[in-house]
Amino acid sequence: MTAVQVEPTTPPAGRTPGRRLAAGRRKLTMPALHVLFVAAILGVWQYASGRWIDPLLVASPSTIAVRLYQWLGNGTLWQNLRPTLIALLAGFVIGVIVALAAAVLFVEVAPLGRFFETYILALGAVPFVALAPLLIIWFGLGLEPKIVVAALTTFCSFFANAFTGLRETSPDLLELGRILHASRRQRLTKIQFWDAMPYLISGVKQSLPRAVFAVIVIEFLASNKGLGYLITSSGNNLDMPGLFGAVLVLVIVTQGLLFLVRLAEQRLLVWQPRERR
Amino acid sequence: MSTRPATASASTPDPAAARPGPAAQPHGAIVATGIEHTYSLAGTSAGQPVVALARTDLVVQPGEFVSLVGPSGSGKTTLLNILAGLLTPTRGQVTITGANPAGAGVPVVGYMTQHDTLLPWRTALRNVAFPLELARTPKQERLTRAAGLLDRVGLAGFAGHYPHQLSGGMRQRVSLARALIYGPPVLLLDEPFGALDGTTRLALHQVLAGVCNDLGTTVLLVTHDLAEAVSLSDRVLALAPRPGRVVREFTIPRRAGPHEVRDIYSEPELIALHNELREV
Repeated sequence: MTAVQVEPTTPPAGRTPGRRLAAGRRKLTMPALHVLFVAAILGVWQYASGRWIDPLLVASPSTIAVRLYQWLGNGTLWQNLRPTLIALLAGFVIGVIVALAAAVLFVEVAPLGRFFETYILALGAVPFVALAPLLIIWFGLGLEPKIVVAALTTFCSFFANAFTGLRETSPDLLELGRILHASRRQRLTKIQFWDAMPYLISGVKQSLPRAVFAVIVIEFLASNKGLGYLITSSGNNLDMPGLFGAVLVLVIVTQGLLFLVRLAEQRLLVWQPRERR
Repeated sequence: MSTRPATASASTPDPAAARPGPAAQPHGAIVATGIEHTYSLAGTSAGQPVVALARTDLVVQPGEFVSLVGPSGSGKTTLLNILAGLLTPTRGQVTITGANPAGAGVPVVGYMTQHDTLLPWRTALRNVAFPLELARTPKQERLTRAAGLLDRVGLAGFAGHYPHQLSGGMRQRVSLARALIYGPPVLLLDEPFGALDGTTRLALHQVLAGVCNDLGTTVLLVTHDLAEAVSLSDRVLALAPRPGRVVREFTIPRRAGPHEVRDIYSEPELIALHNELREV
């Protein structure tokens, strides 16, 4: 056998201990700074409440905390959080699955995709929350209208990303599939789906907050349960700590879900150069 | 293994005479008989087809290393795509070790295209194992084979690296390992080293020759680099454009075993051959 000479193949040196330490310190410093910042805001807010801010108009952090504690104790929080979460997640999952299936169909059957693409993309401009009165008439006050509006909003937002991502698979990678005799299913699941992953993640990040907004609006309009209902009923009773508390829970829920998406993104896009993530 | 002349052959001015006839060598690893390819350019008037490849016969013997050289538009990539079964010729027939490459259920050729086709979301190891995954080879077996081949191309320490973490030369090694993982009898290479610097290119020549020697692979290489063609090949076919066709054939004298990498600048007859090729 001919002696095989190769380029130097020593793996690139990993991070040096010094760099690792510095990176670790940065990792610790950033959350600490955030905690300090939020604590400072809350401190100033609490101090100003009753002095410069009318507590009847803007509740103080301590009264909000007390109200949330009461709601936790008597089950009000969970009773209202649960239907919002169920409607949101059910509608979101349905919207994503249907959008992904439609995108696959329209990419695989190109003439169908060319014909319907315009209509589906135009759907993105329809404010589905404006259909709330109609959906409430059709489905009543339960979970159904909220699930439907969350699914429709997610579908329209996610479809554009999924369709574009699947359609714009690199021609070189498609050719690789042909060279290796990949079946249609293998091409879709092992090449196109992964190549479209940045688009899909981006679609999830865009559609999730929109689905939250859609569900809350339905709950504002006509509902007897849910975070949206809790916000409006607190407002109607001039219960400022309750109103602020419910909004705070809504923000925490939305950010919590987006945090989970970002965690998934880090795991699924670990192959991308860091600067592109 | 084919019988090889001891000295460089004279070039043949008649293109037809330059073609090795399938009747003379009907059992080659690659046999292309009377293949021709024309296509219509989008936007041009109907009835004005472009002849990408004029009638061509080609026989490459098992274990042989043949290079195709020629300017852009001479049909080199078209010929390779036809041999890989990616393109159906307008006329003619192709067999790779007796099978039709387009009709075979499994890939019968390894093909490294001009473009980087490593899957960016897979590590080097999983890129190499990809063809076996498509063929539903058990996971343990495919990873073991991929690791062995990565080791052979000198990338044992980089199995867990993603493509963006590898240099251009390393990526080409991974591509080479992937093209060979399912043991294809024929390897088609379309300017695989074109974008690499001289040193990396020479190192890759050694890797290619070594691995193909071990596996007994027949190689058809498309290149613009005449020195590369002369230093690696048993035969070099020169193509001319409009329409793409084989115009000359050169046989390179061989001293050692198959798939040796020759230093053309230390051998006067190879320099002469290189110069003659350049004039063609």
